[in-house]
Amino acid sequence: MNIRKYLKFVYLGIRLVKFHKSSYIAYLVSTILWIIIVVCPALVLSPNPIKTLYTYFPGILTFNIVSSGVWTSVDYFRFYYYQGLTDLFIECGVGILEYSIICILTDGLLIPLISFITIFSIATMYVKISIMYIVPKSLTMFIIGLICSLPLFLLGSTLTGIILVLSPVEVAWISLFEFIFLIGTVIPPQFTSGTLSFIIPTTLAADLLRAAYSSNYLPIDLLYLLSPIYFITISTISILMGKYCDKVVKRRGIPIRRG
Amino acid sequence: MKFLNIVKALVYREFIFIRNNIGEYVVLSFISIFFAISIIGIAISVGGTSKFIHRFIQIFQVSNNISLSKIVAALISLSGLLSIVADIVGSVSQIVIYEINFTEVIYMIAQSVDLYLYYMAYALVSGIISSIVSTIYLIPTLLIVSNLSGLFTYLILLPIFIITGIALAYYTLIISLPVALILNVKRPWIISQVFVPAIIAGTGIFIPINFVPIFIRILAYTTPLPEICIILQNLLLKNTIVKSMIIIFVILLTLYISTSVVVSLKSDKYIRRGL
Repeated sequence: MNIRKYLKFVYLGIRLVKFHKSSYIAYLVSTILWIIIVVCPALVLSPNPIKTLYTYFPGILTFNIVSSGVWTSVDYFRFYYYQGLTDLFIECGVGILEYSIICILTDGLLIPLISFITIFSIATMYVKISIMYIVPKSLTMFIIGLICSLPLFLLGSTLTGIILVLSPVEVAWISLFEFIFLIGTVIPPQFTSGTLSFIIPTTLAADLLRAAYSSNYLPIDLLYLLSPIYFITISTISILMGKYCDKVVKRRGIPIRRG
Repeated sequence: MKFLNIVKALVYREFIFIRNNIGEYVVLSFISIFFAISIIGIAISVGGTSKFIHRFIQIFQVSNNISLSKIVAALISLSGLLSIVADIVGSVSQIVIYEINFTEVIYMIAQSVDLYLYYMAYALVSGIISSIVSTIYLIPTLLIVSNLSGLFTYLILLPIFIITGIALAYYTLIISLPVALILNVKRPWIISQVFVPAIIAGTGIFIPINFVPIFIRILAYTTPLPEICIILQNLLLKNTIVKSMIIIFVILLTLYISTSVVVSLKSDKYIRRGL
């Protein structure tokens, strides 16, 4: 484990943001607005807005993290490929996993957090309640949830990477694929079948965040116990998947439908 | 005759465009239905069906005997506006900007036809065809939700959708031509990425517009969407027609078309002079 190398990656990530300032701002604004379109009308129409806010909103943060992981992978395997950047990255030893680590601080943490706070505060304006509802009831739980959500960024990017590496799928279908992660994150387990939710790995991290607003599904003691195991398992799985992606790319190249 | 020939060529191009991007239309339809249904799902899951209907009646001020299936059908029909905006504003702005700044086919087009005729025809054709194709998913969905009456609802809504599409296409033309010619943007997708959700979020679509915070509403007021949204909501939920909104919409449509004539004439000169 070379710490210096990963610190360099983080530095690279910050440089990348400076290059693409306008893209990042547009991405942030569009993320916020798309979520507002679906969530705020639901909040207005719901009979109990505060309960809706606490049940559905913490999951948005986890979903945002996973979905930006998914789109990081699409960037790497599709949009950068057209500009010849992917080959350049691979030659320099930056596979999908390394590229995800480059982006994790901005795409995986900063943008989801900013958009979460903005969405939450705009949502309170829709139903005209105090903005202070945004403050989590247990800050430690919130931080644990956030830390446990970070490997999900890697999971999202490597899982999408496998799909993009094995089949010449169009980018449009990826936006349908990311809807799978809605189950368990934004849609809490109490409203879907519990087992189905916990097959999808994003649920536990979202439940940790929900526990910060005391609307959790699993008991808090169990969540504390599971969180380190969860963090290690998800990280290991995504590292293995990332290595597999690199292996396939080296052997067969990236399949892209032409024309 | 010249105009008709341009229209024919554009219709052909539009169909090729749709055939190549059929996946995006499927995803767009899915997302529109998903948005409408998830709004109802979220609201019901917290407080139960009867409380949701009570709240719905309170917000929209409709008659007391409204059923859940009627609410579902109404919200799904309203989601057609979402997919029209996403399709037309996205594709018109991207194609106009790409043609001028990236592929530069506009010079080839300028050799054979008058550019202002081309732009006017493009907005018209794109508005009509895209609004039909992007709302075609409403037919099976409304048939499932409210049987045969759903089909009649769609047939009533279709002319409204088409007129909205035309107005939106001219609106996008007015915005994207100056952006392409004067600003010379490096990343044209930013326009569609920000404009589409900003217009939809500002209109509110599934709720009355006065519930939307004022700073989100500002951009939407420049489009014809708030008026159309009020007309559709009243038509679907109360079976009434708001005449004042229709008058405002017609005024806006005339304004858009006349402004886009001016803008496209100017840009015709601008492009022929050389960028």
